[in-house]
Amino acid sequence: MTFLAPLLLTLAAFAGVPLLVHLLRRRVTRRVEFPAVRFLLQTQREHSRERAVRNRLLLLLRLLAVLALVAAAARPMASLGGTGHPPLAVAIVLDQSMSTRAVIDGSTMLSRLQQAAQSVTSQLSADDRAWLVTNGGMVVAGDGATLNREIAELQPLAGAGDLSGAVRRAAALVAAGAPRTPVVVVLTDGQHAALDTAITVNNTAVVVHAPVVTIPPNRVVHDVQVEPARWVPGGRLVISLSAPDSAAWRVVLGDRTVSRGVAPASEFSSPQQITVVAQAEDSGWLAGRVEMDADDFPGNDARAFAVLSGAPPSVVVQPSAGPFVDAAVDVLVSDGRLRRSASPSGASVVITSAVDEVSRASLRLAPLDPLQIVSANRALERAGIPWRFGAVRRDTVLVDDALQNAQPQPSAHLSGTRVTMRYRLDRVATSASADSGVVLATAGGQPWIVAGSNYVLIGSPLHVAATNAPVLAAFVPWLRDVVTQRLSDGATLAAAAPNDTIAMPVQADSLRFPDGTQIPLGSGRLVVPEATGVYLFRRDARTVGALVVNAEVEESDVAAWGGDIWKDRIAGSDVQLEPRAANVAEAVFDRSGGRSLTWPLVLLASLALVAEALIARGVFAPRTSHPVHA
Amino acid sequence: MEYAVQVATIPVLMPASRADLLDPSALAALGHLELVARWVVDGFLTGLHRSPRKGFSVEFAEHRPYQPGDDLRYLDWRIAARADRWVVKQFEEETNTRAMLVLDVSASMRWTGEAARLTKLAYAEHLLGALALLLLRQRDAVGLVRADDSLRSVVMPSTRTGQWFRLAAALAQPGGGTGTDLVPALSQAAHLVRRPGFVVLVSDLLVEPAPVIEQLRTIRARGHEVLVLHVLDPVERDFPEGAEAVFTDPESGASIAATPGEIRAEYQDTVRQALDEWRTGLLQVGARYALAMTDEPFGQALRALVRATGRGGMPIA
Repeated sequence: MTFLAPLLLTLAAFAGVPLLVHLLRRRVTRRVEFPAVRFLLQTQREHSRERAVRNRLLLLLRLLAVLALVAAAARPMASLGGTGHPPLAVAIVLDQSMSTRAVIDGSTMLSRLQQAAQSVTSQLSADDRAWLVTNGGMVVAGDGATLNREIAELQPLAGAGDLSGAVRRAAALVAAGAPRTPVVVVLTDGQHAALDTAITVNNTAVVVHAPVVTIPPNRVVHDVQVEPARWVPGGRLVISLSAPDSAAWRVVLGDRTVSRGVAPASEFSSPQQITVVAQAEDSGWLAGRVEMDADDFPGNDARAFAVLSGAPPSVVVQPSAGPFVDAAVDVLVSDGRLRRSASPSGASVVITSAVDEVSRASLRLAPLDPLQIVSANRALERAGIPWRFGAVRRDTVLVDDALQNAQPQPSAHLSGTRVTMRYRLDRVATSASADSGVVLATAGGQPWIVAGSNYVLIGSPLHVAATNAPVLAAFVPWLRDVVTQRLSDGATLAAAAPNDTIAMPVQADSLRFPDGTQIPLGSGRLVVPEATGVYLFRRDARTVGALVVNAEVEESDVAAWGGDIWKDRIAGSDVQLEPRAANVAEAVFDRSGGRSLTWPLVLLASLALVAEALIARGVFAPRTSHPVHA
Repeated sequence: MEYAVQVATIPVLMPASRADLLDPSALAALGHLELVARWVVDGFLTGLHRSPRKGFSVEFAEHRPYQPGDDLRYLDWRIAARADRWVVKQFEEETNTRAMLVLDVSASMRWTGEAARLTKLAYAEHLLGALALLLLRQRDAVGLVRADDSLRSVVMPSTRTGQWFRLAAALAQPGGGTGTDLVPALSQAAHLVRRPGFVVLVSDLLVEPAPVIEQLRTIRARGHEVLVLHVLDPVERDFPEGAEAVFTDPESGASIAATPGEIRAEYQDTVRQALDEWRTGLLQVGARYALAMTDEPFGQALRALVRATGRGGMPIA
């Protein structure tokens, strides 16, 4: 037997009250003159044994009543007897991802899941503990009525959310509800991308409800690539889309439709590629959108993109940067992506050795000569850059620049680049408000390329004596991205899914929403807004970057809807798949475990009190039949 | 003046209800014992139908047809000779009985369970006063013995004028000691009645039954009729209300703690058994037994007394 409120067992001390009363009553102070004491003595003589038994029985019944009430207050559970369903610690994980917007037989998938959730919450008892956990990050604890209201107010997310995290959180919550039987109810559309990692729940019972439904036709805009990063003023949009039937599409840039067409039928796994050449009529950041005809799966038939339009950034390449960088800049200038500037003071970006003193945004390269490291570090200190060159290493290592914390993610990668000479990059302590920078690439597991708000620092010189990067095909696009997106003022472009948490891609003091509203930003990490669209980073009343928020394209993959996959992804001793919504509540409440003994104990206490009252009134005492009469 | 007021009250009181049927405590509050006894007797007699016992005494009453088995001594030969009818003469029974009233005046009798109610002793005094007056009006000699643990006062039986006042004065005397010993009092009473008469014992009988019953047996053996009036307060029968208390006997000083609510039913059973024991024991020795509660009207108790006398008892009216 276990108790839900064991502290209340301390009230068992009240069981001593009847004993105390019994003892105190021995000290009688009231005296009454009564001539017929002889009858009283005779009564006591004749009934003393019977009276002693009766008094002990009364005492036992009173003790039993007190103890039963105390035990009932402690809300015991036992596997035998009891009433109601077993007290549960139940967490309802409700999938409100974008895919639950799908309309099936006239109602959305989310409303079906909400009904299934409410079938559980409506049967919760006072002994249960319950939580509502969503993949949108919401965690609410409360009784059935509270959770019912919260469930009814849920709306579909614009993205996938974090269902795996929600299930883990739910498992942790119900584990804290011991000694109640822990149960996690996962109510999901069964979209396979939602539960992206396997989860171990051990002994926690899990009921997964993924309704079996007919999947509606789905038109999806998979991706929109903007080439180049800066339009001067024109560029290309590479659009990926799929539709089970031929569907019309159109591209909207700013307030005007710049292109439209009809896409042939294609599978989700092999989307159509459409390239659109367009011109920007305004300079600066422009919000755009690719749309398809609406279907019963709203939310993924449109996708936002952002275009930066304007003159190419001007760049100065110092001789200390070496010939390879200079040659690569020549290529970018000839392609119209960059402009050369006559002097560093008029340039947007300066590419130089770290030894040189530079006050503008700069790409700084490690010196080829190790003797210059001291000068280089002094220059870094004066520039306020929180990184220093350490000892030189001359082993051969490979570069990894596919790091999750780098925003924006580079379109051209240097992963696999061989490095034969490098300096260790050490971060130094700075004030809290200073830009501590992020690691864009590692070599041999150590920082190799780091970046801040106005600098990019490389731990090797871009020379074939130190690395083969300058001779790789990806070098020129990489250099273009670094200069045009990361170092050019106001050119930072980040992409994320709704509700993601990302590193701040740029130093900004506020974020402007698509509807024009603006919210202040702190430093550190950014929680991406829920609504899709183009957001602008602002600093000192200037736009310094853009954030494009779109749903994960995997969320639109409905080909794998279904529940069977869930049993494999949730590792536990008691994982039950229940495809029928009507059976969800039964599956939840029919878990093994004890039932509440509260009411049986209250009944026992009541019976003891009734018996005590009857015995005290002498109902069971033998009576003589003849009355007193003259 | 006080007496005048009381007398003036009676005409208002009496037409509406007979004094013998009034609440005893209310009635006792209206006057002295003598006065109250008269009201009770008057009311009692008013309620009786004249039903004289017919016997074979000296005062002729009437004739009745002869029945086989009738004593031929009472056959009226004159009528038989004159009218050839066989009738026997009947005579109104006329007795001149000597009655001794024995009153228990022990401490237990001076107790009442309720302040507004008469004590058992006061109730018994009024009742015996009425009885004595009733007997004296029938020209019976009446005496009185008051006793507790010893004899307190004795009034010799007599029919003389003024006997009633002597009895009333003796009854009004204050009570005596604390204990109860009825045996000497009964013995004394029996000795004072020289020829067969009757002895009336009025007591709460909070004594051991055996010695008393044995003494009554002796009295019965001497030819006396014995009548025992058992006076009880209703609280003694039902047990007091209230919380747990120590109950103390005013005579013996014995005490015991008890909770009325818990013990009441068993106590009442014990009382029933005790009363049964008295009733049975007295019947076995040929004595009469009557129970009077102090909240009953005097007339009711008086009627019980008269009824208990039976055929050989008091020739009332």
